[in-house]
Amino acid sequence: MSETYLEQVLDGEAIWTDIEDFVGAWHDGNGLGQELHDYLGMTWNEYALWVERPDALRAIIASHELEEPLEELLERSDDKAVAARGLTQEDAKAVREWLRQTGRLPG
Amino acid sequence: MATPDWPASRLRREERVAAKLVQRLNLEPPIDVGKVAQQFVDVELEPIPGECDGLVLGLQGGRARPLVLLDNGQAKPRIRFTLAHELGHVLLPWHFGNSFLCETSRVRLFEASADYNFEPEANRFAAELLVPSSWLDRLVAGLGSDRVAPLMDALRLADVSAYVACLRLREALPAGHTFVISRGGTVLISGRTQGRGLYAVNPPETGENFERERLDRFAHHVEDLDYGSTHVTWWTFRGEQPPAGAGADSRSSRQVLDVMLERHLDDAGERSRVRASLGGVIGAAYGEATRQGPLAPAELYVRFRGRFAVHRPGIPNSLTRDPDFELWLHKRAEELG
Repeated sequence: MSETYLEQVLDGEAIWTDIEDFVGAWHDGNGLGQELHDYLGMTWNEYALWVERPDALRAIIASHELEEPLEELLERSDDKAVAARGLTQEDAKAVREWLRQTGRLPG
Repeated sequence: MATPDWPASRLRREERVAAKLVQRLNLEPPIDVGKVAQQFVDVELEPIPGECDGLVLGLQGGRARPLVLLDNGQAKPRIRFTLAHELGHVLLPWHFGNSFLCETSRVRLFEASADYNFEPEANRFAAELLVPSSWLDRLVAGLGSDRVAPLMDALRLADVSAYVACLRLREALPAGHTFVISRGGTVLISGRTQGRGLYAVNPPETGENFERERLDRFAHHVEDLDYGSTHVTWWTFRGEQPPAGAGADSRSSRQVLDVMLERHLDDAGERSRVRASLGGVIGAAYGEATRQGPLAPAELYVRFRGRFAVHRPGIPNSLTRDPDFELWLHKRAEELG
């Protein structure tokens, strides 16, 4: 693979959930001489975060795409944040309330 | 049926992700989108308040897997599309946010936006998943692109709405096709295939009355079909039409035009102005045609006609309705072809 995991994901050439395949390829000898985080296209800190918190992978990818600091994205990624797309404010409010009432969103 | 090279390079990245999935899972329409989604998310179908078609929760964690909720009040093709759309938010990881509430019927959201907006990307992901380009290209290669109705009929297999079917064909067909989806005489959505200038025949826009007389009159083909609860019309402005009897008239195009102008305009200055306008329209169409290579008169004629499918304020309607107007177009095409 000539491009890193992150480059391929951001170019639509790889599905982001396939990261374990890239890790497996590195263990099989791909990316000779490269450290794994470089092979994946991550900084060491990003890689360390992913190992510790696999849920953070989307935020790591998004920070590369959106060119926003990872720390800021992680702070924004709390359970209460719901982006309404194409809905009126009234409808969005009604849906959020319904999600809370049904226990799908924290109160 | 020959399999054309799959032009993956023409796909946008969100479509490439969907295409990867199609390729990996060896999918063919009708795509079992529920089965595909089960690999990545949990799915529940129930009434959702308001106009919300679907939503996805837990993208950034907090759940074992993201949860997609779908409003069960939608028609089946729309539920399928909404599920594919929500799956797009899941599989396009730069769609940052823990949850998205979506109203996917806003088809305008297919269009590129100046602002970064995840919704058009999720829509295009969904469209590519449900009607894969690789499959659609084979369909067009097999059925041809001259007539659109057979392609629309074949797309019924994909179990998508008229919106999605037309928008996918808009991407797959060559320049020279225009469509309107209407209900009760009102345009719901319209569009045309790629290309500018020569083929840029713009249809009436969303919300306008469905005025079609001029499009009908100057199109090479007109195709009407019912699709779900909507009516779909496609006009084709490409193809060939040999002159029928034009050769029997020995006059030049200029002579034909002079007689027509005399018939419709009393003022010599006005005649001169309209003549210049007509010359400009034909000149522009011919210029674009020749840039694409030499064309036979029968093809030039179809292209010239298409230029009058849009209202041109400087050219009286009575002139374009004159029985000799077609003769003039034929003769001009023969002289230039």
